[in-house]
Amino acid sequence: MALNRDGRKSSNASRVLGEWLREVVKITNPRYVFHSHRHSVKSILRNHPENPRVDLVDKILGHVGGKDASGRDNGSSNAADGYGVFELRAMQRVIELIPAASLGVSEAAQFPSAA
Amino acid sequence: MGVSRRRSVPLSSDQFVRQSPAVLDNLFERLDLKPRQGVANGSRVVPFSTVIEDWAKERKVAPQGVRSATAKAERLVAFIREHHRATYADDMARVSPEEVIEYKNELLKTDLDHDTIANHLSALRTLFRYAKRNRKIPSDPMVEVEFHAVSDGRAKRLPFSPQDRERVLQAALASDDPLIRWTNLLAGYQGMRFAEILEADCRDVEILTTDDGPMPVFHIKLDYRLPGMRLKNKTSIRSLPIHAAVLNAGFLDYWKSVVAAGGGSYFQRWL
Repeated sequence: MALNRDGRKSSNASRVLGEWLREVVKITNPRYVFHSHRHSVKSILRNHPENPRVDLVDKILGHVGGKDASGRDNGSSNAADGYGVFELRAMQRVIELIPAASLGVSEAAQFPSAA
Repeated sequence: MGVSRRRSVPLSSDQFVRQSPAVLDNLFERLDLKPRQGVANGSRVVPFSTVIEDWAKERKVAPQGVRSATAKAERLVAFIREHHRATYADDMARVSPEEVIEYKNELLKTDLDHDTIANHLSALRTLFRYAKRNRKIPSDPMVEVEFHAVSDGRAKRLPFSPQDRERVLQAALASDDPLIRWTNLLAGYQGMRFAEILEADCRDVEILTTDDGPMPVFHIKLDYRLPGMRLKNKTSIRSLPIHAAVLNAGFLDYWKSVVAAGGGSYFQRWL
């Protein structure tokens, strides 16, 4: 396996996923890439009828959350290990708003309403 | 007249060194002053490479960032070498605002899109500003150089349509390649970035005990990642409860198999 310029192979993994999307899934429009998943998640949550809390959506995506008056990140979304269980449960409820793929797999039966 | 007036102002050659090289060459000639010892043509040569090195060290820039800055600097240097001066083309202290503006106009003639041109100029701006503020060059030629990118929205990456998302996730579920299966499911259900998934260590997954039962959580943190791996920024450090669809697809079984095989990364062969 060839290494990339940083001595790592991750760019190969990225290529494998890109080729899989084009050749196996047959999504050929170059505007759709692996990162589209992330855009999808954000878009699904932003437009969800249950209006999940914006700070929780930002936290899930690791986007900069609160800003202080000077526009600096005030660290309010930088809790990581410090999350309480309540907060994690709240994040979990938001994450579960993302619909599960529905066809022919076991979770379709378990989460019919999500799809 | 101007010359004699300047002559009356007591100036040391040290002060002259802060002027731009072209002005200095002239002044030295007109005033018949000897340039300071060890200062070639009135100004030290300040190669891009040394500034990039110092800047990268101070700002802890990743190798990728260093490469990118170097490539952008080299492009400017090649332009200056071709159009302005064959020697000292690499000298940051000699780059003039006019040269940078001509370079910008040259970039605009290419088919590079505006965002790319903006990236080029902002990388150069960073280097010149750093060099100026650290007293490596007498003046920053980019201070007044402006560029406003008009972004081409068509180039942007889009979210999948619900139908495409469904197809991608189904295809991922059908794949027995762990890389394809788990990267797509974790990104598709948790919105995780590619590197956050690929570079994770199995110790990043934890099953928390709560009053409402166990809760599997994916910690995105650097603690167990290999040296040199980075997260995008501070707010990227976070903990994500794992989506039921990922659990139902057997993620914890995969996790246990990685742990049983000695732990470490989920996607060892790709790192």
